[in-house]
Amino acid sequence: MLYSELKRNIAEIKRISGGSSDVLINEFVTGGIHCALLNCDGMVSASTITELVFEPITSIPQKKDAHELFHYIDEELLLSTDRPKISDYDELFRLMNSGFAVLIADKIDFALAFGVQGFAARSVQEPSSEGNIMGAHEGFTETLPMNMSQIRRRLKTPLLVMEIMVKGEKSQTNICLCYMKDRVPKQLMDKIRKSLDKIRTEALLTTGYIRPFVENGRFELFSTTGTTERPDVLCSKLIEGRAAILIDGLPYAVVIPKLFCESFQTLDDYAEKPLYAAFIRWLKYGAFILAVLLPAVYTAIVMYHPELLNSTLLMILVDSEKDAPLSILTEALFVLLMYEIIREAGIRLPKPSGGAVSIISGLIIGDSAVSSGLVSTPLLTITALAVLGGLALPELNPQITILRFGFLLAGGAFGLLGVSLLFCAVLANICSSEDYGFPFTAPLSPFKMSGLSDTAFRMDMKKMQDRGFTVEEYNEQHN
Amino acid sequence: MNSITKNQLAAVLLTTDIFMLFCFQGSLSLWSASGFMLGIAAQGLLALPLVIFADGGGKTEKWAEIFYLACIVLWGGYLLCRLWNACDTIFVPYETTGGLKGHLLITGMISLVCLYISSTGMKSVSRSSVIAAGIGVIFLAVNLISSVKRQNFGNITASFGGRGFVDGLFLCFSMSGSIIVGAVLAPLVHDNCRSGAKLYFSLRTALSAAVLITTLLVTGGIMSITDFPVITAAQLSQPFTRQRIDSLFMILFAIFAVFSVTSQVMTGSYLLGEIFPKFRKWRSTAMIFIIIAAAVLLSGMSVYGVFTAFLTLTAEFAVPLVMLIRRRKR
Repeated sequence: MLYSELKRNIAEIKRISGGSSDVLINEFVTGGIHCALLNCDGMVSASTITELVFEPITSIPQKKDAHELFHYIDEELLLSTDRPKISDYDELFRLMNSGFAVLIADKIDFALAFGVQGFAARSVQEPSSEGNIMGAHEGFTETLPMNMSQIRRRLKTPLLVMEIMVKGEKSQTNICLCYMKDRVPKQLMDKIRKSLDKIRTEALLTTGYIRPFVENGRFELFSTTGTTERPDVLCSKLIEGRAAILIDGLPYAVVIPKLFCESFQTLDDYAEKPLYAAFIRWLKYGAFILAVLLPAVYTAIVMYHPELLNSTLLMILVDSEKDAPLSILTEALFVLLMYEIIREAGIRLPKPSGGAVSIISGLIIGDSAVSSGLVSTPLLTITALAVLGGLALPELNPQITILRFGFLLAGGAFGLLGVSLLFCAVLANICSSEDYGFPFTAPLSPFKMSGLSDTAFRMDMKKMQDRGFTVEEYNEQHN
Repeated sequence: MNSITKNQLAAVLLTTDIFMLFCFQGSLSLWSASGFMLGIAAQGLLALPLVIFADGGGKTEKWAEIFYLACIVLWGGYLLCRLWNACDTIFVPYETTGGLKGHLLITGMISLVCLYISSTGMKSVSRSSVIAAGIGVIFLAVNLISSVKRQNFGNITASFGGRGFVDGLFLCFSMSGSIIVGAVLAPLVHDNCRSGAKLYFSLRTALSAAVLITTLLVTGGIMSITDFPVITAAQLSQPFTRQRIDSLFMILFAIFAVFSVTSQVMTGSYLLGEIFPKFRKWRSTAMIFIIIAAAVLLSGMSVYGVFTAFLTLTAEFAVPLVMLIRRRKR
């Protein structure tokens, strides 16, 4: 609780902040009352605070006491649209460190805060991880209010609810739970809020700090929550009855729940003709299968089932593999590991050094490894195709990488039998993934014929608008 | 809560039925194939008490659960025996799958996968069975289409010396152990069990007819000298002249084998939980070991046909009928 003496409050603030240099305390007298305006350096706009707070506040006529002063400021001056009252230090520091100016005065045990945020923030830019041709070119930024406004601009209905809550013991991060109240059942929202209440982490620095709390705790290969960097995509998810969590400081929204089929959908699908959109979707399904299974099936066939190859192809493979010093499994593992190292280096290296990675990888993998006979050309082609397939689905890349290695080892050790057995285990794992009663594999299993119209195909928009789909159709707990 | 849909029930049962067809040993004639098909229809009729009992919200009684558990252990063991018999013919690499060592390897690998799958729960097994059955049907269709070139209608007459109509009827009942799983799972179907049964029997009829007719047309002439006519039919059905596609059939076989055994383990584990409510952990593991033990015991016996036909009839018709009568009396 705040003290009613100004000096004591200032002393306490200094004690709590440890004399931190960015806590600015401006003491002054207005209306005959001793006051102090607190703010965090760099978090407020200097011009805004001068024009909208200091100038009106310092010209207040004489007041009887601090209560009258605060009443006048709060009810008549209207210094900002967002002006909460503060009664404890936790709230005071949270708001001050979020870019609020906080006014405390002598002989009063609460404070007034004014939203005058003006910290440096990245402007709205094109999303870097979700490419799109025909849709909007705006992505989320690191600022929560800006992200909220981007959603509100697209969904002006009052049915869209945005609930702000604070999570993270030390970071005191604002998170915003968004949903359409006519599309999401109350019990589902209660369950999500209950899951969020379990968050006890010190800071929320990336989506990974929140997702485990809103996901099923079981061992799942695929994530049952999605992320998006695009406000338009998020709006489509909200309309479909999903909930979303925006986190201050992150340009991504967490979407609950996510279905497996969504990884193959993009906003461009709805901008193109249905036939082309369906073709692209099937291309992506094929790319996923190629990315996961191609190296494993190739290795299994060459090592254990050569009869599956026609004689011409078999001769080409025999010719290229006869001088290779390593077994096909080792070769495949070597090439895939090299690719992963190069990819990781490409991501982590400073941009100016990025070119060096391409040169080194091109020289080592593309030229030296093949010409020295360490790696055969067919295997390199197969690996490149698998990698390319994975690149078509960037969202699934972590899972594809793990599965690719798993299947490769199974295929190399036990042939197609190993691949089949691992396939069964992976299938069961995917089918066991479920979040708040939404099966990850819906609408394929449990099978919903109506769901295929936007998974196997892409229904015409005229028919789609009459369908009134919400993801609740798939919920096995509520239905 | 354990509950499944009618599609899932049909898929769980179909995977076992198709797997049993793959493992079918002996000869087949047009008459026995007809008897087999009529057997499916008869089973559909005999399943009426079970369907009425399940749709009426009936809960399986304790004594029936114990009986079903015993049936599942025996049927699971029988399935593993058939798998051991067939794996010498079908599994590649051959050098690691022959003999006791090979059988142990195959059993170990399949058991591990089954254990994992059944540990994910009934919902997950039934969901994955739908996808597995779907993939299986696609592979089967590829196999059947590829056999068109090899089909010879003359083979039908050549096989008349084989089994007759009654043999086919008996064969159908002896290979329908999946019905035991169906009897346990039917009361757990949360939508209409009757339409689930209709779906199952019609799909089973269609798939069995497709497999049996293709087998007759492709291997009819050499049926008496083949160990596994359905597998041989797949091996003979090569659509290309310069390559073989047997291994694709192996993928199908492996997937169906896994889901067949898993459905027994999952159902047995569920029954163990119902009979012994305090037995929570390790139920699937216990079930796997019990089934393997049953397989070892059964591998030396040769009364499978009569025995499994009796189990099937009792589990499908007699037990549900008794439970239905008892419920009506109450």
